[in-house]
Amino acid sequence: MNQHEIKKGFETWNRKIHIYLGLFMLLFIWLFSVSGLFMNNPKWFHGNVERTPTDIPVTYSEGLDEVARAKELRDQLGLEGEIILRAQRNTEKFFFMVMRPNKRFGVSVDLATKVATVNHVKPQPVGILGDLHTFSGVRAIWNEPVQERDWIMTRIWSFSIDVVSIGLILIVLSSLYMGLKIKENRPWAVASLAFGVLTCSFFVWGLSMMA
Amino acid sequence: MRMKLFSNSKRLYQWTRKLHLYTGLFISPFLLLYAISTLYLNHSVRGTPVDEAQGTVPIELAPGVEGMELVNQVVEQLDLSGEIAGRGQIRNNQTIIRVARPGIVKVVTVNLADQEATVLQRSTGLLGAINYLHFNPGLHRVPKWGITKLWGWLADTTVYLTLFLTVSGVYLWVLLKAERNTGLIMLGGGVVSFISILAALFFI
Repeated sequence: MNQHEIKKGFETWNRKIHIYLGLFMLLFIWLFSVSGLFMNNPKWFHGNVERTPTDIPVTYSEGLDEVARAKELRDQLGLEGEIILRAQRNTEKFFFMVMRPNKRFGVSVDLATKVATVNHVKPQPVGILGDLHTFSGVRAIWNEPVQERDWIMTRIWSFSIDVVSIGLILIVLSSLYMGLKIKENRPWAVASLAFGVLTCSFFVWGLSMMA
Repeated sequence: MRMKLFSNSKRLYQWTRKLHLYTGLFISPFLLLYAISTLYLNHSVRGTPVDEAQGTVPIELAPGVEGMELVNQVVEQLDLSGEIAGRGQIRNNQTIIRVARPGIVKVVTVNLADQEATVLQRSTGLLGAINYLHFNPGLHRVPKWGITKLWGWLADTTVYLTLFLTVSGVYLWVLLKAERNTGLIMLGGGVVSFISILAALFFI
């Protein structure tokens, strides 16, 4: 295979990858684009969340660490979702959250009476979009002492986010190669890219340099 | 009549192709910024900030000033600009004001008794800059600084252009007979994956 054939093969596959990845990720890109738009415009998030508290007696094993205890209680209460466990503020209670994009459960166990108050929180549809956008299981904003993904679906969704990000990078790189190879109207293509690079660079580097 | 229709659809194809190319090239750095920062945020990776003391300077504050008026007086005298965090609440005769921009946060500790301000510059580097831009504006982060508002407008534009690119991309693919079958398999695979994952996230 000579160099010309290798180049031609690369160009053919570069184009195919651009098309196939774009088609495969179409719905994912729409989801993250629309949810990003909503998150970028917080005023669009409105409406009250529904909260339904229920008291349930529980038992738990002594001597478990907090993560293991939260998992045991989650399973006992029949809840499914990612455990969000922050530092405990009230020594008389054990608090954690079980979260999935369309619902959350705040679980507060009274250590004296062994009664769990499960607060079922149902967000509005736009809130669900926001939760899907950020549902990584290890958000710094949650401030968890132990950051781990403890629900299989969190791992799958987080993996999907990685795949979409890497796929998007590949789509962009393949488009740069194709876009700059086109001879017709090349000055316009170069000008579009240069305008984008300069605008983006101003925000990424320019603002800190001017501080 | 048929010739005119053919000529119109050819013109539509050519214009869509050109717009797909130019808008795609324009937003490519923005898409890279969002995609790369997503990888970091998805794994909660944060850079180590580097702090640099920038000294203590005298300031003149009106007696009894507090709240946003205090913040505004300090920011104006120190000639700082950026997204301001801090409401001018005074504790132990001090208030702390953070002035952030992508990659840099200036932390100003104001001592009201001594009428002086100590400035610390915290550099978060390239990673901090792209994470900052990914987050701002956002939920609970309503922009006040004009530049953040401009970035927010650009971020919205990136979304609208991305949606245009996906729709125009599908249109261009539909006209490509050679890629139709494999494309349909990829599109179908994506739709099935998307619906399956969402169904499991919501209902399992």
